[in-house]
Amino acid sequence: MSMTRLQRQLLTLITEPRAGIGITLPEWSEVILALRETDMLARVGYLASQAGCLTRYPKPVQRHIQSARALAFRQQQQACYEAGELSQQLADIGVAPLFLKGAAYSLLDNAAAQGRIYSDIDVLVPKPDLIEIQKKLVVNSWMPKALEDYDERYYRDWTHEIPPMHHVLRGTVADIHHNLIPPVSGKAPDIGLFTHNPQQTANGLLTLSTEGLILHSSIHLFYNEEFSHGFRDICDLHLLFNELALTDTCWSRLLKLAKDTGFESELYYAFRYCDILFHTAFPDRFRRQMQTIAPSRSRTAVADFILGHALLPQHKSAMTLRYKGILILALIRGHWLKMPLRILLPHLAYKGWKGVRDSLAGKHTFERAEK
Amino acid sequence: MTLRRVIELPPYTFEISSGIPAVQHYVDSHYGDYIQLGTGNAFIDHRVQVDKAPNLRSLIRPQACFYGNHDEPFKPLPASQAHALLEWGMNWCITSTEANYLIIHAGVLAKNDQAIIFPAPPGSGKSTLTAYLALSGWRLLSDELALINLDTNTVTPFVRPICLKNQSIDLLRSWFPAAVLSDIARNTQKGDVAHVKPPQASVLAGRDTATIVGVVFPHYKVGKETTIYQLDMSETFIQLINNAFNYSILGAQGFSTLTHVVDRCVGFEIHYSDLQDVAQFLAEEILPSK
Repeated sequence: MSMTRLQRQLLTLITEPRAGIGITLPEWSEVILALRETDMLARVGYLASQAGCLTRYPKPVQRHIQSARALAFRQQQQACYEAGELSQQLADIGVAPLFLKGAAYSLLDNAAAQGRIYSDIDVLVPKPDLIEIQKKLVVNSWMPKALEDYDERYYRDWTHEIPPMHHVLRGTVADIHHNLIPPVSGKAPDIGLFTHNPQQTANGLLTLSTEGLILHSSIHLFYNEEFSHGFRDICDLHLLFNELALTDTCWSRLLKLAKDTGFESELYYAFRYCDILFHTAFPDRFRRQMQTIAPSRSRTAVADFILGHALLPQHKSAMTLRYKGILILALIRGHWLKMPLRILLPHLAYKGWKGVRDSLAGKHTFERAEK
Repeated sequence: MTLRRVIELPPYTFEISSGIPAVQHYVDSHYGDYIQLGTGNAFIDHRVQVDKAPNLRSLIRPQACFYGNHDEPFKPLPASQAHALLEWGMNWCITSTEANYLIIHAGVLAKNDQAIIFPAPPGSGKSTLTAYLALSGWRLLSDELALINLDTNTVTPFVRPICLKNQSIDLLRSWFPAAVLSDIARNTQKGDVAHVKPPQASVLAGRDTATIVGVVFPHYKVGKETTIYQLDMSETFIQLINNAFNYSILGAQGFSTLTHVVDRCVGFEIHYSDLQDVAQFLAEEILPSK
């Protein structure tokens, strides 16, 4: 896959933090901007400090990194607090929520938690309890976000989650899921296969099992249509795999879960792009097993073209016409996987019309100026 | 023609670009005393740009958009407010990213590196007081953002133009006819605003930190006779927190920094209409006698 010099630099900072010592100051201005745009500045700082080379980065760079790490640390604290609150509130109605993705990483304080920036707290709950859960949350100051009617219907009718709830005082956003992908895709797994063996965090909250978390993060990434955080998310997986490589217990369970739930391709893609982008330390046996579940050559070639590019850091200067074109293909691919055509076509038509209108007329043409 | 300037605004370096002539004029006038760097070979902390909203919108009731660090945090404003938008956007760059300082929404002024900070919500007369003092021989360290060095009672200057609102624009003109004011941006969120060019001496001292000796909470009210209350440490502490941008982000470090500040300074609340009174009080009662 082709990438910009800056994209290559960002990748290198993940795999080889020492490379940062050789980056010139004017180049660092660009690198910091791009890292901030992709929510990766704090993480790069964490990796550099872990590699013992952060103090050898230029002083102004260290200052930006220090700020980003302070913000990330605060977010992690906040996420753990909110998770505790949510769990306590839902315990009243007999629901034990399972935390997913970023919130789960923070609660477990695992390799992907360090320097992780995220915007919402993802929770998995049993579908039959949804109404009660919503009532309970509203009483506790969590309000559904105001959405356009269209988007509201989209959520309710077709997806695996309810519209995001935000806390009116603290501004935190909780995404309440009842499955991992939209049931309308026809591929939503038997959620019990993911939830039957949760793990308990140090403060007594629950997340998916390690293999469940990794597989869900892979599904989430490769079923998505939107890759603005793709680089961060694939980097999460790289760090989780690397951490897993230190132990030996989970790999076979991971593969089994993928097979049982029908997400072999997503696990393979997680493996493939971690390997290509970050040279992750997969055990040899797992590498061989991955070859047995690899999609066909032609499918892999298409994936390499679309996903291989969409997963690169999407900094502003990388947005060439060609790159934007690839992102549109990624958008179509993601929708295609999640929705049958009878639903997908009207949806794309609506979103497409808005997009065309805004790109022709200018994004702000239909907005009033702030008064 | 797009203007592109790399300017040292200690403790930061900003790159400012704009295709709007009024903004270009503003940058040349109000940032003319700062050190300008060549583009392309400096480390840039923050990149800001103010330009007309693209495409059709530039034809009907033109709007100005602010882009900071490749982000677009605000909705566009009428094009006539573009230079004010630039200033607010530059503040946003700092408040949205900075955690190396405890940031208080406050004016900061000093004499002989002894600084007084004036924390206050909008509308309390902070900027008018700041402009008055800055133009009467005090050193301006900041109008909006007090950057307190962590775990110290010292403050880092961030010298920028002072944002006057409504009636204070004319008042200041009458007191200091030589002051350089920007065009007035009418009917903004804060009313009519104009920015005062910072005194050259303050700009040149832009890297000299100062020690906080006093915290004064200003309350301007028309016709009010000067009334001064001394605050105890806990009152000063709480009011500082109320005016802080990133206190909660800094956590324990925010707390210990404020402890350093209130342990070593005096705190006052001052209700006034006469700025001369205030200036005299500050000089005589708060600044250590030499």
